[in-house]
Amino acid sequence: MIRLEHLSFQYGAGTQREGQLKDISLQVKPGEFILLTGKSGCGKTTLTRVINGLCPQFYPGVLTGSYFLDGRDAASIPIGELGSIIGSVFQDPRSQFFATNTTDEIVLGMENAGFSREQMLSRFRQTVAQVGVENLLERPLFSLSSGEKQRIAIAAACAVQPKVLVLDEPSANLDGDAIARLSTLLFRLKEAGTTIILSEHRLHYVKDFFDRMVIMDNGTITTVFDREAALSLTEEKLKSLGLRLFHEPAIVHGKRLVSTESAAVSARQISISFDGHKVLDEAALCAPEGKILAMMGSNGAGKSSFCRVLTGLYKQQVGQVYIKGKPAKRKKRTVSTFFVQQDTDYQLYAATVEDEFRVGKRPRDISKAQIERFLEDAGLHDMLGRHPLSLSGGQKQRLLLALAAASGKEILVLDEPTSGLDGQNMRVTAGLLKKLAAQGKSVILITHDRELLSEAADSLLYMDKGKVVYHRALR
Amino acid sequence: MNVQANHTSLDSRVYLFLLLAGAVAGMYARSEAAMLALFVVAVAFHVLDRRIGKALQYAFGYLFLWGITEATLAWVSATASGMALSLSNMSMSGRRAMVPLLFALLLAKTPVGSLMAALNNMRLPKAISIGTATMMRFFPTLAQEYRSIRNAQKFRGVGVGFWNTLFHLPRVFSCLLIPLIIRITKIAEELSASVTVRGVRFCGEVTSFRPVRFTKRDMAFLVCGMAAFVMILSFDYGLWRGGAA
Amino acid sequence: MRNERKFMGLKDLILSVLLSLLMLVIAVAVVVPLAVLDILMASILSLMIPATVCGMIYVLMTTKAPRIGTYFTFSFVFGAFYVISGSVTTAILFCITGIIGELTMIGGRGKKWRAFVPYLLHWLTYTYAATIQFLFMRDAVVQTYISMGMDEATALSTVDMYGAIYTAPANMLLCGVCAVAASLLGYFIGVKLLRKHFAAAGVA
Repeated sequence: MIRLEHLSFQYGAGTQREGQLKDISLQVKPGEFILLTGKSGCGKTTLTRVINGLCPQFYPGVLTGSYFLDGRDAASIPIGELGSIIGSVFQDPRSQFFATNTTDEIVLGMENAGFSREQMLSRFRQTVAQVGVENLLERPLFSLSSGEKQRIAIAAACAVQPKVLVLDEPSANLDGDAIARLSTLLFRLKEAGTTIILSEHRLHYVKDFFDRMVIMDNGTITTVFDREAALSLTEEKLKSLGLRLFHEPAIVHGKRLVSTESAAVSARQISISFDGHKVLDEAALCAPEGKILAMMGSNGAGKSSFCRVLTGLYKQQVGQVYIKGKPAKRKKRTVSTFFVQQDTDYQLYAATVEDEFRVGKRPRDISKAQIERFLEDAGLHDMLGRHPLSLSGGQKQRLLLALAAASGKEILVLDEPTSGLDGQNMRVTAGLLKKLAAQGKSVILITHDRELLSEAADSLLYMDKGKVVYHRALR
Repeated sequence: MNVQANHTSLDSRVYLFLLLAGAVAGMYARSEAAMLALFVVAVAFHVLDRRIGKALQYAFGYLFLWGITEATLAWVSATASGMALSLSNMSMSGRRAMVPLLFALLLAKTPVGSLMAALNNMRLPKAISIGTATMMRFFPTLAQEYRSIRNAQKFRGVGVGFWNTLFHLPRVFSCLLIPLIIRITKIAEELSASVTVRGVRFCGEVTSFRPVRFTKRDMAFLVCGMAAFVMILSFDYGLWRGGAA
Repeated sequence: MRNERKFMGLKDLILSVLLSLLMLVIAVAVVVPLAVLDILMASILSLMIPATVCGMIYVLMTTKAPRIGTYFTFSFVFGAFYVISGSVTTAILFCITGIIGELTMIGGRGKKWRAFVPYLLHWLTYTYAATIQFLFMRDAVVQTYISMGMDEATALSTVDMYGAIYTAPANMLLCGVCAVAASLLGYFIGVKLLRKHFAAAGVA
């Protein structure tokens, strides 16, 4: 189906070193499920772009070697035609949608592929049934959850009935339930004979049905394992490769935790509604100093809204938030907390990493030596002069944790700090969080990442439909 | 499985032509009665599309702007102050602008594929249809990005409170604009990569999933709308009274 | 290796449309709070602020997409807004500006300071659009005031007083000078920030 022989690619004029591929040789049989993984920056995304034709037809660069698709030289196939053979699903559902309505998005590819209306209707019905999105039709895309958006994106890619499906970290923004649904969907697609190439950090949800695992490092394929061999890799071996584990750690609950008003931050009876819909229903929380509290629950459970109330971004309609036992109004909450959002690009403003520490401060508030110390702790000591937005995803997260540490604020709230991170970066982030907690800070993190939970969290607060179901100690 | 033939009652070309006609008519309407009549015609199309709630909102908006014009009328006559003139002019221009704007809002409801197919049927370059679809999809994204950046700024001590924002305006601006520009540039790249692999391109035909047909009903409403604009302006300019008004 | 296409591709079009829309939103957002000021002051500030602020966006756009069509798209997006807000003459003017902008770039694509010319033309059009709009709509506005109960003499003097602000030669010259200064400043800031931020962040 796909044959890559001594393929190399460099972005731009061939002088850039980042993101390049070196001497890739790989054969993918029809109907095979390839799990493509490796540390951040290893070249997985670039390889998926070469396969779906974006490199070099969309992202200019120098491509050498050969790429054959069903016996044809893929370099000679226009990218639009390649798109009807190879369907692509990207990481961020928000920026891959062209339409504003779910149905329109699903049919976009077919409309531009020259199908007749009857063909489109037939394929549309098949795809909707196969992907299971009947309940999402004719809805505004912006109102969907991340999991629902990702299913629409997959339906849109599958509507042209491609022979190959290439997915780039589709689980990055999904919760546990949505990942389970994604897993079922990918299994069904594989059973239907679609060749699947999945670039991923999270391995657990496909461990039962992938065929081969291709590990990349520094632009090359280092090892290829068949499924049995991959699953027999030990935890230590996977960690040494910078990968995540094949199994999600079990959550071992301890005793139920009670709220105390002397905690770093606590909340009682918090309720808010938007457009007549109750988002939080008498939610309560107690986050002590020096501990890491993880918040879990399906998308839409109210975790983000609760954190926005705690940090003063939202005003609660009922209830009270306390900081060190004293009732705190919105402004006080904002001043006392540091909220690290999931998308790091919204939170970095300066031209250099060093200047980033001075944003919002007077120059004398922080010295270069102090900045270097914070960066050292975060493993970014050689990034002082770099532009913050040129860093990798994991580096940006660590920079934000360093900024949080430098802020002097005692309450840190993080929204999915390890989404899209490889195993190595996830563990480094977990280590940083534990260090911050050891300094006496109260850390609250919203996460679906069970590996992070097991590495770092002291307690788990589980939410469902706006209510706190339980808050228990872990370990 | 129920797939709607279209999200609006009429073909998008009807709204496009009426938008252009409404813009011209609004520019040249002279009397309050004519401006109101043009507005009523535009709102009628929303009612026809069963957007009664929205139609009422627009009517309140028109009333509000009319109120400002009335309130500033005496002020303008008495003092001709700059602010009075400004407000009076803005409220009048606003009411004129509502006519094409209401048709633009109906156009924005058209499904992307149908809009692109309709514009392609008019033999317009595909760049126009793709550009128009991009514009329609972009506004909710821009609002969301802006809000996310403003929220994040608060925790860095930037743009917190009115006076802080005012005294540090350049910094607030740069901390807002730079990430916004970078985000939009990345979104543009990802969006264009996504549509490129799905075959959207400047050449080639687009077949709309939803039937795109300019029916007799569409023609009838287009003719009625145009005729209404012509009649309103004719009465306004006194052409029916056999001389100038 | 930058793509050596002459005409804009899909990526260039989407980028140009989105960044032009951002510039349009900035221009429109600035007008509203300035309405409380004196008309002349409001006119000057509502052209100087966006012309200065949008320079960085324009420089990024023309650096990433230095192709035939980019400069036209920039002006066309503003023109489309003016159609929707009922100002067809202004829309046509912007389209003409866009075409002239493209013509001025013949043989000069990729040259840093040549791209300033379409930017300047754009903001000069923005400056004088209100004047031209007034000339077209003067009679209609007078009649509207009369229909609201004002007597003819008062209506004429009111409208002419308003129009004088836009048509007085001294004011027109002042606005033109401000447009040139703000465009130059904005473009200069844009060139500086291109290196400092956008190229360093990897987006340019």
